[in-house]
Amino acid sequence: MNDHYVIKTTGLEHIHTKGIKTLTDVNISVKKGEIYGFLGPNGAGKTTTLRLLLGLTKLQTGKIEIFGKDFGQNRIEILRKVGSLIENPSLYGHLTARDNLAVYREVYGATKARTAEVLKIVGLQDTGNKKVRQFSLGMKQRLSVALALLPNPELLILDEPANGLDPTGIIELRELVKKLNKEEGMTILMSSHQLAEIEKMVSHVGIISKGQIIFQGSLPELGQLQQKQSRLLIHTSNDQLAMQILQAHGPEPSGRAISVNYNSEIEIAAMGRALHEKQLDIYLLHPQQNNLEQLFMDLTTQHA
Amino acid sequence: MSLAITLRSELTKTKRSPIWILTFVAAIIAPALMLIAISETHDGGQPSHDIQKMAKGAWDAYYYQGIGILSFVFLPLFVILTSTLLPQIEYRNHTWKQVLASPQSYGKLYFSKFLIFQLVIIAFILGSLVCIALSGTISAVLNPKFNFYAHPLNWQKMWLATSKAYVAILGLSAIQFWVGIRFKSFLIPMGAGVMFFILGMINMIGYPVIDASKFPITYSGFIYIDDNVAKVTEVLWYSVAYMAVVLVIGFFDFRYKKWD
Repeated sequence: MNDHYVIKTTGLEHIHTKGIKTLTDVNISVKKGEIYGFLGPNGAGKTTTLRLLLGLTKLQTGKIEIFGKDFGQNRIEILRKVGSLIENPSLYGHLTARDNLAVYREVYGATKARTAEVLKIVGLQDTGNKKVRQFSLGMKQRLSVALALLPNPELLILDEPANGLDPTGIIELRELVKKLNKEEGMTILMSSHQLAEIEKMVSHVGIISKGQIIFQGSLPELGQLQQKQSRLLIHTSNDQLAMQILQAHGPEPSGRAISVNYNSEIEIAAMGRALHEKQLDIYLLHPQQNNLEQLFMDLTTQHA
Repeated sequence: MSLAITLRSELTKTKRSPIWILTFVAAIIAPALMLIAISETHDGGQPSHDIQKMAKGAWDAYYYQGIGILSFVFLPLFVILTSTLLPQIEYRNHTWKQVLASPQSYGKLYFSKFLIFQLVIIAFILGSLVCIALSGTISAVLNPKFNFYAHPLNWQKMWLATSKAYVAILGLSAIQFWVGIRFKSFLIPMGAGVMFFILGMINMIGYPVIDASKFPITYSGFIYIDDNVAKVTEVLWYSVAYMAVVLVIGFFDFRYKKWD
């Protein structure tokens, strides 16, 4: 029983109708209280995975457990506690914001007061009789978030929620997500194709590329990986010899210098001493630490 | 969660949609045509045969004509048209994924949508009956020789005729409902519906190729042809059977459809 896991997928595989494999052995684990950023470039398999989690796409291979229960056998019970926003806003253009929420209010067993509350949370309480088709994309996105919040869910699944939001909207969304997680205790799974967009709000990250999970862990763990992937740029009086001396650090030519791996500042000092002992003059010793975005790019590009 | 909740949810979606306007505008057409078609005089003031028809009971005759016109043409065309409008609310707004990610069973969703469709059909029929009454009232003023108020309306007969028309349309309504939900494009169900309706009418009243009593698209017209009186009960049962079978097939198609 994985009762401390809110989401646990095991060996998810999915083959598109045209025979293209879109997911390969996807294992995701999201614990209660986490804000899990599901990252990957466009077409990596994020939306397919999220659609599988919500039962919108038929499960072909693998197992999905949500709240410790098999999704297929407990679909309605699970969905009662899940708020979702998948891809573009799914709203009735001929209805008002309030009517859109009214469509689902009783379905989720929410009160009228809750409708007003979620509209206030996303700042759409004063839209009156304005029909949703007259809303801007940002307003539609906010209303979709309100719809996802309507059931006061234990799990919130947001697929690219920042789409269509301006920078202020993104900051507001970030604050909202943090607040919902902290104050309401919601577990949140949100996808994005940009790490920078969500790195300030997530506690855990899963990176998917070409349908495969290539990293999964906490932000500090991603930071450690970042450290491991850091490079040191060195230029000496004899770079050919320097490459031989630093063979253990995977040296590579990099313009007029060479680039080597390093894990700590102590290693940098050791490399400096080794070069000095061989009578090499050091002209440049420059640590190049990846930022997370660069690391994300490197990981997904390496995998591609 | 009860079916009533899903039904209310589905009904809310039709709020402010053109479906109700269309329903009541469509309900006016046949009674308005009757005002022109049923008259004391025709062809430049010549007395018409309508006076004789109305002599035994103007309201009964007027309603018989009205329900007949509805049943033959307007009711099936209305069903074909509105069957696409209801699913298009979801397709046009890209809302299927939100609906299916909500805690509602596929069965409740499917059948509540069908029940809302039936509600629209019933609203159209009732609206038409009210408009026939208004049309008759105006006709009474325009055509005093019809003597509308000499005989009261036989309500029982009127409701029986209306009920038969409704039961006869059930088969077509289930077929159109299934096709309307099945296809994203509204042109396919509407085009196919109109085409089969026209072919069915030609088959039924012009050039019979197949037994019209087995072809559910034109059942509501079939029951109003004098030669078919003996087969009316049988055809009404067929209509219910078609509805039941198509609804079950349609449900499984809906349940296992790939929703993009």
